[in-house]
Amino acid sequence: MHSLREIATLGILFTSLYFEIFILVTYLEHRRNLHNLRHASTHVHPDLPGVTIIVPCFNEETTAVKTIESLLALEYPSDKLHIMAINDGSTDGTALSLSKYANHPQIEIIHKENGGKHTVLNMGIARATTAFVGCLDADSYAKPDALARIMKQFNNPDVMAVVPSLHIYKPETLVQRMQKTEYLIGVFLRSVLAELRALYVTPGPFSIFRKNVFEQIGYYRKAHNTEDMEMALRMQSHGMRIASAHDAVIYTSSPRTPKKLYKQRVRWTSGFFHNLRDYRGMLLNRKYRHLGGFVLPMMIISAASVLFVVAMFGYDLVRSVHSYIVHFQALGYKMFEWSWPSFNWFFLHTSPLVFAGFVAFSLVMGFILIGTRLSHGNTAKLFDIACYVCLYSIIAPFWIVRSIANVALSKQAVWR
Amino acid sequence: MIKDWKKYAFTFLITTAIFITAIGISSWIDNRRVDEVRTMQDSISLSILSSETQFNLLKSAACDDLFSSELGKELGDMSDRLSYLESAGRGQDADVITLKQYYSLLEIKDYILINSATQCKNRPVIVLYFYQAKCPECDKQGDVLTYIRQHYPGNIRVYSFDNDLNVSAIKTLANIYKIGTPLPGLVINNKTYSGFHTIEDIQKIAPGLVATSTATSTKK
Repeated sequence: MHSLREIATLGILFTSLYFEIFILVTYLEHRRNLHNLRHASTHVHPDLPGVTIIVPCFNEETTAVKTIESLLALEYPSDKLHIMAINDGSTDGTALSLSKYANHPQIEIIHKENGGKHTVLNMGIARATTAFVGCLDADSYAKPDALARIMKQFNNPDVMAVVPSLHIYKPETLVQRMQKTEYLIGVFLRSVLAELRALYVTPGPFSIFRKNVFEQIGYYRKAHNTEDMEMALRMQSHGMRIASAHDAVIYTSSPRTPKKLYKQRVRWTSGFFHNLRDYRGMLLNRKYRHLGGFVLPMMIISAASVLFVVAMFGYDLVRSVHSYIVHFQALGYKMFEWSWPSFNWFFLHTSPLVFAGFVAFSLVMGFILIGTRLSHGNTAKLFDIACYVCLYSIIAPFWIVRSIANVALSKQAVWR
Repeated sequence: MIKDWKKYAFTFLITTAIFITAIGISSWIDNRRVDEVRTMQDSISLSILSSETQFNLLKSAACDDLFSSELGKELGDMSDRLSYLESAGRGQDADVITLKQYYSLLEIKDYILINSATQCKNRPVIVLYFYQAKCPECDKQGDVLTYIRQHYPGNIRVYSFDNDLNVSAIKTLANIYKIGTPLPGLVINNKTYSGFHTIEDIQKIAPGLVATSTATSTKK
C-alpha cells in the first residue's frame, strides 16, 4: 500500500466487492420467494387477461416466422392472445414470409414505412385493445409457459411491468458461449434488482406492460436507440413497479462475432449513459432509494473504474515493453535462451489485491450458479464459463471505453 | 424487510472484514518473506564466520570452502530475494533496508576474505558492482551480471552494492576503487571500469570466465 495507484485499485476492488456482497445479501434475504417461483403451478386459468404481443420485423424474413410460431405455441388461451406483426418497411422478403399468416385469427399483419423500433412499438400500443401489451423481437423465441408465468406476476396490482428471463438462443461461437454465461448472471442480477425495485431496463424481448402505463406516462421515445432502457427509467421516475419473472424463459439471438457484439454493446452502453444523463435527476435522490442512491451511481463508478484499469493496463504494457527492450539491449539474443522457470513461493504475487480479487471472482462464479438454478434447465457448461472468464474481460473494456467516449462527445451509436 | 441503511451498513461490515483478512494474509506472507531472507542471511554469515575463523587459525583458509559455489549461490539467491522485495514496493520498509545493509556488509566481509586468500588457485572472477535506483544503464548491467552468474556459477562471484544505501563501508569501498558517477561502476579483478559493459566486454576483461566454460562445454 505504497502508491496512490495501489490505493485507487484497492478502492475500486472494495467498491465492486461491496456491490457484489450487497447483491448477495439481498438475494439471501429474498431467496425463498425467488426460488418458490419456479415451483409455482402454471395452471392456465380461463379468466386470464387479454395480451397483445407486438412483433417488430425489420428485414427478418428467416426468423420472424419462427418467432410467431413460438408465440402461437404459448400455453395461453388463444382468444386472449393477440399477435401483431408489424413490418417496419423491410427491404427483404419479410412481407412475403408474413403473408402466410394473413388469415390467421390471432394474427394481425401491418406494413408501415420504416421509422425505427420505437415507432413500431407505439403503433402497436396505440392499436392494441387488450389491457396488457408486450413485444417480442423477431429474433427471439418464447418458451411455451413463458407468458402464463409472466402474467402471474400481475396478480399484484402494484406491478406495472414484468421482465422475463433472457437466454442465448443456440450458442455456437465462443463469443455466444461467453454471452450465455453473461446472460445467466443477468438473470440473477435482474431478479435481485427487481426485489430492490431497481430495474433500469425492460428488455425488448418479451417485457410485458399494463397498457395504461403508456397512457399515464406516454409512449416510447427514440431514446438514443435504447428505448427499452428509457422506458424503464421513465417508469421508475414515476414510481411504477417493475417485476421480474425469472422463471419465464425467452431465447434471443445473439451476435456471433466479437465485432457484431461490440457494435451491439456500444449501442446499449452508450444508450444507457445517454439516458442516464437525461434522467440525472434520479441520481443520489432519496426518493428513488436503491436505484437512485446505489445502483445507478454504481454503474457510473464501474464505468470510471474500467477507464482507470484500462489506463493502468496500458501504462503497464508500455513499461513491460520498455523493460523488454532494455533486456534486449543488455543481453541481445541471449535473452531468448530458454531456462526452466523454477517455482518458489517467495516470488508469488500475494498482495491484498490478489486475495480480495479472488473473493470477488468467486462471488461472480456463485452468481452464475444461482442464475443457473433460478432459470431451470439453462445451465452453463464449464466451457461456457471458461469462455466468459477468458473473453469477457478482454472484449468488454473496448465497448465500455468507446461508449464513454461516445457519451463524452455526445455521439449516438447506430442501430445496425 | 431489513431497513435499507442497516443492509448497507451490514454489507460494509462484511466487505471491510474481507479486506482486513486479505490485508492480514498478505502482510503475514510478506513477513514470512522477510523471515526467509533473514534465515538465509544467518546461514551466509555463519559460513563466512567459519571460513574467517579457520583463516585466522591457520593463516590460510580451505580454498574449497572459500570459493564453494554453494556460498556464491546463496549470496545470489539472497540478492534475488532482496530485489524482489524492492520491486514489490517494499524497498522503503525498515526491515528490508536493514536486511540490505546486512547483506552489503556480508558481501564486503566475504570479499575481503577471498581477496586475502592469495594462495588459492582457480580463483573465480571477482566483480564488485555499484548501482543505484533510477539508473537505466544499471538495469542493463544488472541483467548482464545476472546472466553471467546464472550461466557460469562456479567461475564468477558478483558483489553488488546499492550506492544509495546508507552504509559507510560501501562508501569506503567505492572510494578505494575510485567509483565515480555516473553509475554503474564495475571492479573486475581489482580494476575499475565505469559505464555499461556487455557480456562480451566482461569476457574480454576476464578471459577466465569463458575458458572454464568452453572447457566444460567441449567436454560434453
